[in-house]
Amino acid sequence: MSQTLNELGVAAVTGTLQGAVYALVALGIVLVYRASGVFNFAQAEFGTTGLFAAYTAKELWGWGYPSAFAFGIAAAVAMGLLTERLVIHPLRNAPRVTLLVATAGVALTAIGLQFWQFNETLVMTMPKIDDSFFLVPPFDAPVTVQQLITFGVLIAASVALGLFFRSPSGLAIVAAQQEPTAAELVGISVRRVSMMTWAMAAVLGGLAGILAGPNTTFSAAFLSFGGGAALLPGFMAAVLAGMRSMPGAVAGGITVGVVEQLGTLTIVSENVPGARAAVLFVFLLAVLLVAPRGIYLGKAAVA
Amino acid sequence: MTRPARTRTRHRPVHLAVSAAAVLSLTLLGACGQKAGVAGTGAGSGTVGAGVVAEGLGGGVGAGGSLGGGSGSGSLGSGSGSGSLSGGGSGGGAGGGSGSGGSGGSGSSGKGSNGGSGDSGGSSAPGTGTPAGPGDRTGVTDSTIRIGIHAPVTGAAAIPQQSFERAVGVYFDAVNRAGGINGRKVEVLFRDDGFDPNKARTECKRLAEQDEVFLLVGGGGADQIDACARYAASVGVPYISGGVHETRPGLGSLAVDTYFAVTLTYEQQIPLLVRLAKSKDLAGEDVALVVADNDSLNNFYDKAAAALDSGVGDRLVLKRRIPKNTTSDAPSVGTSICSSGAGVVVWNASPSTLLNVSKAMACTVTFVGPGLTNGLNIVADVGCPNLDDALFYSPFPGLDVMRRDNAFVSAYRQKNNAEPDDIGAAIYGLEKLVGAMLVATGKELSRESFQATIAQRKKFETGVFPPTSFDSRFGGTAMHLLRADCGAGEFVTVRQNERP
Repeated sequence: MSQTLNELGVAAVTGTLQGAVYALVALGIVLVYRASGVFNFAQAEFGTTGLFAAYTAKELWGWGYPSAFAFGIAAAVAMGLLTERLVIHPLRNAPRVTLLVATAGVALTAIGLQFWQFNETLVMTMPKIDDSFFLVPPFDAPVTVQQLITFGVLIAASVALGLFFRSPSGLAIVAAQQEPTAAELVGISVRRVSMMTWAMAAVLGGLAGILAGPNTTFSAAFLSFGGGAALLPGFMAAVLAGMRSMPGAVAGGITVGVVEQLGTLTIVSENVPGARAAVLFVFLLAVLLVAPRGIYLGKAAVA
Repeated sequence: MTRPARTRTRHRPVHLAVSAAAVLSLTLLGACGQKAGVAGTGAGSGTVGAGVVAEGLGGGVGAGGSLGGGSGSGSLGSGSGSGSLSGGGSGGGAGGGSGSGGSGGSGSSGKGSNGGSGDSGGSSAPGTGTPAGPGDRTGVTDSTIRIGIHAPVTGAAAIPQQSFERAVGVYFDAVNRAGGINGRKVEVLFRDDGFDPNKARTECKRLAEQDEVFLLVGGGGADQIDACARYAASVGVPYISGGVHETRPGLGSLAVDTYFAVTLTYEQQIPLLVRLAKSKDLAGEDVALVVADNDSLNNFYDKAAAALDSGVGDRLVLKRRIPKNTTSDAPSVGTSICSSGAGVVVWNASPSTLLNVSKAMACTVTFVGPGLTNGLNIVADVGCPNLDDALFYSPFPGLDVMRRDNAFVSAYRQKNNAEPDDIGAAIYGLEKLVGAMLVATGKELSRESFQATIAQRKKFETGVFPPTSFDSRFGGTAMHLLRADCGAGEFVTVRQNERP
């Protein structure tokens, strides 16, 4: 097998697994956008906040992994609910651009708090859920169990979301998004639906952060622009999904992960400095030029 | 007619999201340039106080005797001043030694010339001429010598700020308590360079021009040392650091006037690394060479690749450069290492990058490499178990050895009321070497006489850093080999004073 072909195989496997984190972030972005039409720039910070909370519980307070994990998710949900109550709800009639800037403000505030609280901590790191790893044939692609767990969580979250949106509660979200007044008239609390949507998005962000954090050391803004940078890839994945399709967000996340890995191929990286990011942006540009509505639209999005 | 308009309207959210994401990313990247642990302007400066005699100072590892007892007389002119490490009678070797320096005298200034040109490297021998007149005595008074140290407390080097604050001045504090060097107390000013060459140059400029230090010392970080060394040469300030790279594209050799590397440069350590890769313990393992893409490491990368090519042949399965501060790239770097099948990785990049890559890897390898900071215990502490058995060449021995150095332990405890760490050992070793040079220069201390003394005497042996031999400005002769012992949670000393 040629070196380039082997590298392609490794990139496909690694990109798929890395894309799972992007897909979790993209799912949250799409979920919020579908429900309230808001571009949520704080989505990745739900993850960093959850990660910092889990780190605090596990490393500083000495909690067990499951408790720390749950605490991290709870912190992310709390941040999601606070964002909805304190920022989104009061601004619900404001222009979308205002809401977009407001979520960016939430992200910046969270990052500021992380710096404030953890500035003196030299290196933050959390153990993986499972430290083992193995090689995937036929390319001998190195894979960690942590990556597989993340991918499994993505699958589980996708299935759960699919089932949820077929349930009365899920349909209530769709109804509240499409016709809020009519939904209120038939007894659906738009306020409660909005809170539920933000809480679900925060859970998805929290999962991404807490599962990605142990792969490297981490610092403030980890999941936005730090070592786990998943905000821009997550937005790219959501754009590929037309900002509406949940399955499209999953496919988009994995696509972004694989395309990004193409930039690490020897033939590319040795000739193009910063190829990893460059390849991704060229890909997104091409998609926007050729298919500006996205490429993973799904039935719901098309409808 | 309406279709294009509808299309634009429908796609606006997507375009808005993309453009806003780009704008926000730029904004946040600017805001988040510092990692956690960054403490703004850093540790500031502190002056090391004076005190009484430190017990055992200079005698701990038999260093004192060689400090004062060696040569250094007569070479700087016709005068015959003699300097002594005052009050050192209690310290064994140190107190008894005396360095002598000329007072005035005739002759030409003893500056070395920059022998390197272009990117080809080259190291000039420091000049040994004798200075005319009293010379430049900036930072020196009848009762004090002021020196400046810069190091990366914050930034990508991941070094605990408190450790540096405690470490700086431990040796000179003890020396001051013993009466100082040739009757002068040594004041140490410290600045955090933030692991940023521009900031390092600014801090060195402040130290030289505002604080008017006599000499500058680089505590770590190749690019920061490069920036400060070249600045120091431009203003005639002596500059001392552990060895880093030898040359830099566009700037030429680092063997600039006033610079003295007291340990082996990265390039000089290549034979050690090749020998390590061929050693019995690592024989049979495939080898990868991973080096940060700082241009200052180009020469090291090229030479190491060539040496490994000829040293281990087909076992060299991967050669690659990686970003200076690898964060989000860490998984892909780790994947490339693991996919190569390498069992040994010759590594030259920052400790933060090492931690990120090793943590992201889905395989087990043995990291080996040069470096002032990769062998620090904080790296083992955070990097274990991934870094178990990593081997790094260090200018100072591990704490397992330094804990037996009574002078060091006593001086550290006395200054800080705390147990010493390895950063304390590193700075102590560096200060001790500078102290030996100051002692050897004698009472008539000027920048010219100081440099001429180093050039003439060449050999300084303190028992912490390996002995020097300043036949060129890269005066290192050996390194200490440290191994990450994850059971102990620190680097332990495998071999001391290993020569290429």
